Amino acid sequence: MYIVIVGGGAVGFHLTQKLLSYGHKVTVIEKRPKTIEELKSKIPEVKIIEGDGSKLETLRRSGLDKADLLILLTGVDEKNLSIGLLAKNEFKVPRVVSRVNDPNHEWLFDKHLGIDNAINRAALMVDELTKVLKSDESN
Amino acid sequence: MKILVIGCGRVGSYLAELLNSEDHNVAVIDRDINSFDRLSSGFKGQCIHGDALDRDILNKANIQNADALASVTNSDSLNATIAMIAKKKFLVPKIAIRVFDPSDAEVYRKLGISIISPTEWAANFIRDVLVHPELHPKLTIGSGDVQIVELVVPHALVGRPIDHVNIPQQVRTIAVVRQGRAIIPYDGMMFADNDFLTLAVSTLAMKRVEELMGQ
Repeated sequence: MYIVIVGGGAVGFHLTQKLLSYGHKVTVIEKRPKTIEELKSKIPEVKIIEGDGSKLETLRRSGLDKADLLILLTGVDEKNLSIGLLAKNEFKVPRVVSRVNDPNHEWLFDKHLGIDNAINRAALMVDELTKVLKSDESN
Repeated sequence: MKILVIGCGRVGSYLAELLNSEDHNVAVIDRDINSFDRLSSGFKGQCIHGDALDRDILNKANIQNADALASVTNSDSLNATIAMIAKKKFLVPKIAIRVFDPSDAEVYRKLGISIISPTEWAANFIRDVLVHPELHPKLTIGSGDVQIVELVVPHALVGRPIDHVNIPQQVRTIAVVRQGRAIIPYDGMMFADNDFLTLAVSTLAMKRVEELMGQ
């Protein structure tokens, strides 16, 4: 698969490593120079597009029209959502997966706004912690 | 009309005041509580402090019953996101947003949202002021007291009622060519991009028209 990831921070880095090891083709869009340097030194084989992922021109450079999957990992929900919109409407990306930063925004991450799957880290952590606490109680 | 304004910066507060002065029912949302200081004491609308992506905040502003929404925060992404929420989730009939980057503006326009791109607008407007040729009368009537002039609608007027440029006994829009078809303006007709106008102008009002058209 050809996968484009927007946001090359901690999650983006680990995910890229894993996807490459599975044999996928991966491009990462990132605008922070320091994060770009880190990515380059840790994963020299990854293709990096430098720029703001919420801009049409940056998305075009990443070859998004040929992507099978787009993964949105920026820390700003409206960026992830507006990129999802562009991806679905301009680039016809078959599948868009996004991170949800603020749990209050989770209701927005659906097909109406171009998102196929949303991952709400805060909610996942709460679920996991609740499980841990429950298992403690039953012990 | 019930109108929501997202972002209470310079444009947002000015717009809210303008709509308020025309007796519309206005609700303004902003993340920064201090931004409401820009509104005058005469502002009768609702000020809602909070995040416009939060469902509770939008409900507080009664978005379900809004006739129109304008999103004019300083973030293109946020304005576009809010526009799509209003359009898809709340079916708000009229939506206008500000987008600074002209290349992105085109995409959002395709999604059926009215886009105001100040960058594009200012550049076009300044171009018109600097290099637009003078208004040449196409025809004069009587002994030249009334002149017929033709021009492309200035960007500043796009989206405004045609009636706004008409002044009794001085200026009247007599025809508009739109998408290749000439029409005589109907009541409530708005200027649209690329409209080609024919105006009847009294000689005494030529200067006013030149000013109006940004000459």
